[in-house]
Amino acid sequence: MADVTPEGGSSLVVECREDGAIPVVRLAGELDLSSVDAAYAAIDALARSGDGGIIFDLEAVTFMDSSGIAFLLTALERFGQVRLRRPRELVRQVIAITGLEGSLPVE
Amino acid sequence: MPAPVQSTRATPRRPLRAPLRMATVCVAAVSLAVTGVLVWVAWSANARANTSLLDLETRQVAATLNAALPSVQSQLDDALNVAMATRSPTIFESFVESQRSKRHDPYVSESLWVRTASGYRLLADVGSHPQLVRDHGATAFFRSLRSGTALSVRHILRGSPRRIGYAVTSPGPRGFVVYAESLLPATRLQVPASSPFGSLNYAVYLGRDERAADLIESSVATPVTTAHATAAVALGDTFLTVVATPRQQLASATSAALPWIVLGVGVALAIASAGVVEYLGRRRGSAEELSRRLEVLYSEQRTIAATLQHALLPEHLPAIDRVDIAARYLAGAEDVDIGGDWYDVVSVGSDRFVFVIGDVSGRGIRAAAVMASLRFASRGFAIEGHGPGAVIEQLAATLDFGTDGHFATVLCGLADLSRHELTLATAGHPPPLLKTTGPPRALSLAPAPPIGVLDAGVSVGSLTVRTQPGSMLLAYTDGLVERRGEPLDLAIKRLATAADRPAESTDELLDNVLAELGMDTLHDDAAAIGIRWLT
Repeated sequence: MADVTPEGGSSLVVECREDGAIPVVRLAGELDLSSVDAAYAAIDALARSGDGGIIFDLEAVTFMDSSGIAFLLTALERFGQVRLRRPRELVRQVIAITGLEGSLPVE
Repeated sequence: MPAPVQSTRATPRRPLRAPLRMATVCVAAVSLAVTGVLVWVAWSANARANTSLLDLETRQVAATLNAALPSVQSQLDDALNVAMATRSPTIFESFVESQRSKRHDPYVSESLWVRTASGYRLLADVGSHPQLVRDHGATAFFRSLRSGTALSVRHILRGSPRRIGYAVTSPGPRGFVVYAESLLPATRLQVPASSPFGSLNYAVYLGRDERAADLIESSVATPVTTAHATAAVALGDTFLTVVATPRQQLASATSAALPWIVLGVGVALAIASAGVVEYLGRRRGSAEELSRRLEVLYSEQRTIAATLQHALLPEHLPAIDRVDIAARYLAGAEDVDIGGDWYDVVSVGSDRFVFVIGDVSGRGIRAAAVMASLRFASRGFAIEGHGPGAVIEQLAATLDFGTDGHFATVLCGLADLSRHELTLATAGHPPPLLKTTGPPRALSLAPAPPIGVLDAGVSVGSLTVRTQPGSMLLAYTDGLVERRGEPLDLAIKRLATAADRPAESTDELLDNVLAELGMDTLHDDAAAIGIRWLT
């Protein structure tokens, strides 16, 4: 678990669970340019132990910009499959408008 | 051969022997001042200890001397009483002889005198003849005696060894005088170091004055000029004065060494603390210098990136009849690196033009470079005659997120002014606003995935709408609408409201929109393009 509050930036809490077949990464807070490094660090740590997809629990993500999209696409490149759990409406809209509902499906 | 051109940059070098910092000098000065005070305190404590020990030991010498003094008074009083009771010189002589045999340090001379009308007459004489008589001082000394008072002491008599005279007298016109003389020791004594007062040198004077003639004995050159203490011991009608001076440090060795220890430690601490302050000061100075240079470098880099970004955007939009086109690019806040937003307009044939607006993910010069390649590629595809869907399909082959690390959202539109048609296609880009008869509204475009994610070869659909005189299109990048905590649909509605205000030109329209949205502190960079159909 990493609580990252960069100076003048956003707060993002990252929790990883690997008890099932597929790792679940729970993100909470604002996923943007100033906080996204914490999310990358979390999946960098996972990459050694999983290659059969990844689930992001986005229930507590209150903001996401194109840095967040780039992060999810990076995870897609690395794990082959990404599923989103319980994204809020504003996250859904970002993904829908970006035309990525097919690439980043909600489970 | 031309001489090679050398470019050198002068780097200001710090002088090797930079002067000490003010703080260092202050710390050193304060430390040394404190050290000086402490040394003075330790030194005076030692001096005080020495002085009080000297006083104490001198008093002890005097006390010892007092105890050792022969009981002159009582012996002479006893002899006087015998003389007065018996009035017999013979009995006096035998009494004195018996007394002498009991003493290990007898008087060298004892005599009995009687006062007569003409002076003093010698009645009996035991031991050697009185030196006082040889000096012709007897009459004067005896006349000075006061009967019934304490022992009178004659000052030191000449001779070798020197003598000292004592006398007691009885009252009455025919009073007796008992007079005794004792030898003085040699005047220079050697005090053995093992004696209780081995740490002292002293001189003993007869009387209160330290006159050379009155010196009884001494273990030091007189008069004593070094630090000394004085104590007096009563002897008859006069005193013995002891003048003592230390032969060595009286207080403990630690007490004597303390000022030197304090001085050494204090100076060492002063040097060390000044050194630390100087070191930290210089470290801080160089860190500040480094930080300033980094700031300059960063600012230079940012200026270069911003210059590049602006250079990659069209300097002027092409003048196209029957439409009014304006565009804006807004850089992010000061501390935000440049982004990859762009717009472009290219005329394709007399009645047709293509516009493109896009946003490359990521920041910095690399994002700007990707933006440049996409901008010129899309321009090329448009000029070749591809429609918006085809332009996006072609762009899909030019970028791969997996290898390039960037993706780009792109909106491409083709306006046909003679047919009054506008065809649009989007790759993950926010929907543009179109105003025809009613208020502006977002076009429902089915978005393809962004360039970089969109697979090459996938067909991208497009939407065609009718335009009419007064139609207005506003296309933008997400930096214009993105707000924390606000879903995009609400943000786009807010933009639509701002765009609905009456405007004479697209320039004015864009100014209105930017003013309405309050684009003072941009989280991201933003671009917008407005098109109004005049016919």
